[in-house]
Amino acid sequence: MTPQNADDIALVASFRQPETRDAAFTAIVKKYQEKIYWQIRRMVVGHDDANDVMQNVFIKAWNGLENFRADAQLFTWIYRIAFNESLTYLEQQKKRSSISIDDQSLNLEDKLHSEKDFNSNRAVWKLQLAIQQLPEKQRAVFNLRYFDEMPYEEMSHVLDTSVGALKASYHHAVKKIEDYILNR
Amino acid sequence: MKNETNISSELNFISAAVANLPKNTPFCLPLGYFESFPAHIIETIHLSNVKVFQADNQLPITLNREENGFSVPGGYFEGFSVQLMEKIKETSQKDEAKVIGIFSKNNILKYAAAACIAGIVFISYLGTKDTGTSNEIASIEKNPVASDLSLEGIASFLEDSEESSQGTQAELAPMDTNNLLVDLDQETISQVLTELHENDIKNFIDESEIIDNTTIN
Repeated sequence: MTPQNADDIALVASFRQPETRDAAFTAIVKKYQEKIYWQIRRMVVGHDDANDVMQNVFIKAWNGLENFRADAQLFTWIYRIAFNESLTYLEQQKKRSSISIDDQSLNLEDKLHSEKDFNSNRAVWKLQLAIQQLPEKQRAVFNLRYFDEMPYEEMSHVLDTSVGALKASYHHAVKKIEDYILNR
Repeated sequence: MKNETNISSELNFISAAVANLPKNTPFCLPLGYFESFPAHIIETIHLSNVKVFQADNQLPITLNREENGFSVPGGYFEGFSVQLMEKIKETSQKDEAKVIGIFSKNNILKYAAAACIAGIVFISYLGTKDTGTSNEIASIEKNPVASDLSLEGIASFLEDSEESSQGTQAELAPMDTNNLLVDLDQETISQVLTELHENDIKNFIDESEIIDNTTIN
């Protein structure tokens, strides 16, 4: 058992006590909020959108934590909620504006353009533009591997996909990004 | 550390161009966002009346029910479970598949209607199958001479001609064909011709024309 895991188990046990529930949950939020936020932000791009999704994620975590099994990793579990919530949010936006998947990537591109300090000539922004061209799940795989350096085994729990499929997905994603960076 | 090395070497292997890109995220966010978020989410959870379960898994309790700004009718939550169960029962009864008897009133009417239609179709089929008579009638109808005649008249004519032909055949059958060869001299013929009226001859020709036409068709 890793120290992080032991720490998480203690936090979950503390959450189950009514008198320490709020403090335990605050500690969990403080511990994982940044990683979760950036994962969501890279998916939905805008801060306000990311903030909405973040709130939904932690409300769901609060509701589900009582039944959380100790054998699962807390971080992986919250990550999974965040991924699903991001997808749901994007799906809702798609329905609301009734636009196709291609148009949606353009929509996210527009959001990138409206970001403060946006400069398409800078490599970091160009990389973000390239990432927005990827399909949603491939984008999540790339982000988790490239930015969070998550091992494939852990990623397979988060995204509920086999390790082999994740490796193939990451490979395709990198190739598409390379093509975008070099040819645009 | 080993994991990080693996990831970067894997990326280098797939694409050196992507591996050389900076890994930081260029997005900016409001100042102090992460500092205020934990307190904000706890407040949101309590204000949004989120249900929490007690540690010993007893009945769910709700937090700050009075503080959320909304009100519910008195005793709503007490009676809700009963209402819900009634609704579930009602919907499950509706969802049950209906049993429909084969000999119900509706079905008998349907089968009777179907039988009537089938009978009409069968009778009309039999009518069209008797091609001999219908063809004859059709040919008579097409005939410009006979078009003025009624169908009943034609039918009675056909019956009469059939009977008369049968009668004639019966009469002729035992007769010696040699009897037909009557020895007529020129004088007798001219006498018969003078006795015949012109109108009688015309009528005879017309009648024979009609008979010829019907037999040809």
